[in-house]
Amino acid sequence: MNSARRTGDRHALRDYALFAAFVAPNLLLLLLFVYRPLVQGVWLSFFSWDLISPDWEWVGLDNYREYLTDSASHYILRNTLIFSVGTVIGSMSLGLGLALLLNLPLRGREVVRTILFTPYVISGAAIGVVWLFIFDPRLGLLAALLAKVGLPSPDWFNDPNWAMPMVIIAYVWKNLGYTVVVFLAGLQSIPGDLYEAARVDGAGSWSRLRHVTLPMLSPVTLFLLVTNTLSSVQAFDMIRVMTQGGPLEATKTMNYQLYEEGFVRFHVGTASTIATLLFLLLLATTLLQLRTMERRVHYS
Amino acid sequence: MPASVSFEHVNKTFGDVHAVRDLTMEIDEGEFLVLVGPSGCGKTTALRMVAGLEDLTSGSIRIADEVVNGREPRDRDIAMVFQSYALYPHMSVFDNLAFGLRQRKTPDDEIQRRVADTAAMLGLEDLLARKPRQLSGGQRQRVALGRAIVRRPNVFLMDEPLSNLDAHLRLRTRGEIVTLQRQLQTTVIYVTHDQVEAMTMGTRIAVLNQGVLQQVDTPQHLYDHPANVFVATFIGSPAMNLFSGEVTAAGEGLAFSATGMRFPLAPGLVPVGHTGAVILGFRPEHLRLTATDDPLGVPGEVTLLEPLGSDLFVSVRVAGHEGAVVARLAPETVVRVGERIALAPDLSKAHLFAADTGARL
Repeated sequence: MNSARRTGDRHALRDYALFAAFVAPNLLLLLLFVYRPLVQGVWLSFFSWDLISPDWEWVGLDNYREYLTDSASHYILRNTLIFSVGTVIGSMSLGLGLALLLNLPLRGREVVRTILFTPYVISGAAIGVVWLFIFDPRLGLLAALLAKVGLPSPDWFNDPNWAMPMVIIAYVWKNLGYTVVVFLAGLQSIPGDLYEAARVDGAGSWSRLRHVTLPMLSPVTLFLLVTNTLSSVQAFDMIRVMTQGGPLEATKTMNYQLYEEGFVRFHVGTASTIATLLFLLLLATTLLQLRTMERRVHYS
Repeated sequence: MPASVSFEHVNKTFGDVHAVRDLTMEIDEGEFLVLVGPSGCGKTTALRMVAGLEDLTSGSIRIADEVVNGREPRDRDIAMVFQSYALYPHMSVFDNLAFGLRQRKTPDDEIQRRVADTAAMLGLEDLLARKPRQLSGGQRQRVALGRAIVRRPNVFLMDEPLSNLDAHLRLRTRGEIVTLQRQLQTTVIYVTHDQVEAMTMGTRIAVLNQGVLQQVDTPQHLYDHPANVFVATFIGSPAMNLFSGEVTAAGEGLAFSATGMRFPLAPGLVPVGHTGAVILGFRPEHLRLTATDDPLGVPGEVTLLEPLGSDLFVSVRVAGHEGAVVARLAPETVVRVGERIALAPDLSKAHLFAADTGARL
């Protein structure tokens, strides 16, 4: 019995060594390139530094105090929220609708699926440029279409009330393909006989959507909610190309502000403060989403 | 109220596949009809057409004397038990049972009462709060049954509901479904590929092969008077022994002759004037051990013994005959593998089929 346990221990030890050997290279890279900068970023947020000078000036929590009491940052926080909520709701509702359509046995749906997914793999900067042309109030496609129905084009680039919707529309368009494909995969994994059982039970198409499709999609929906939220907060390239955060900071999000503070104004301490706050905000949001949604998610 | 169901010249094709061919059949009110046949014979398609889950290519289906072609499943007053059970995984057992009633806007107190009644009938009372994934296979099967019962439909449709259960549970549930049907007095159409299930459960059995209805009859009549070679070999286990040979004149009467055998045939077994190639069939229980020099005996060599306790199945290789001849003998019979024995058929129990069409003569 004693020797058996010792053999067991030896086995466990060998297994563990093997596990470590496989995991170590990856873990090392992660530590070096993800966790070290993360920790360093937090560390930097306690200093005032201009990216060049050899002296780092310790300022403690001053950066946080300054940032959190500045009304400009409140406005930017609000922008971030509007952008995220807008893009997440936009791409999830449109994505579900399109996925439901593409799940029907219609001719040519493979082609449509490919067309929808293409923007997701194109660079955001390129897409931003294309949308600049579309939104142009004088020469743009959208202005021409609006003129057809007798409406004037909003001044997307100069009107602070229209700039944010513009960026949201462009961003949703780019990311729609991802959401559609994931929803579609979820839809196709729902067993067909559940729908047949529901039909026999007397459920119409609306009721089948509500009582079969949506609950069966709940794990996929939670996944998309989390990933879409995370990526929307990190949006940068399209904002950079389309509005540079303007007009009057109307499209400036925290991530964009971080870039400006760090690499335009060389306020590395402030940039690190924003990065740290953004990280905490995302962590809290994700945990909240997981906690509140988990109860309503059905994993079969 | 149990309803009658009738098929009138029903056809169903999927592209080039003719799944159901010209099916005409009446199912009476309160009857337990079993649709049986090998896989791909069209039995499930026929059932799904009654449910309204599959459109007819031609012909019509009536439920309670009303043509239901093109009607949605919910407007047919039927309930179906699926092979996979198709329980809603995100709903509790209670909600699974109540779903159909809620869709039909049944008042809440009645839902409570009917779900409770059904749960009591099936022994599901303690499981009502559970999700399907927390149930065993047998319990899920009960919930699937309950979901059908709770609505009190006029016709129950069951698509191989026992095929996912282990042998022991299948045997028990078989009896329970039959008892339940007697209690509820509902019309049941039951699809299975298992001929034992068909024999033990159905008040009548419809045998399908390649989309064509072969015979509809009571289990005993089907067994005693199979309409053709297919039914003769499909129903009954081990299958009927078949011998290819010829009908020849023998003095006053007729005789059957094949390689190594010659039997006089009872008058009336062969229609007047029919001579030529036929297939003669005997069920395993209609063969008995006889002396090797018996002129009516079929001689052969024992290749396999299958003692079941109650019976002994003996497989015998007979010269000039393909496959083994199987006899059901008393368990105390003493034979050895490799021994040469002779089997004598009970000529009054002979089945005779035309060699070309396979139809009973």
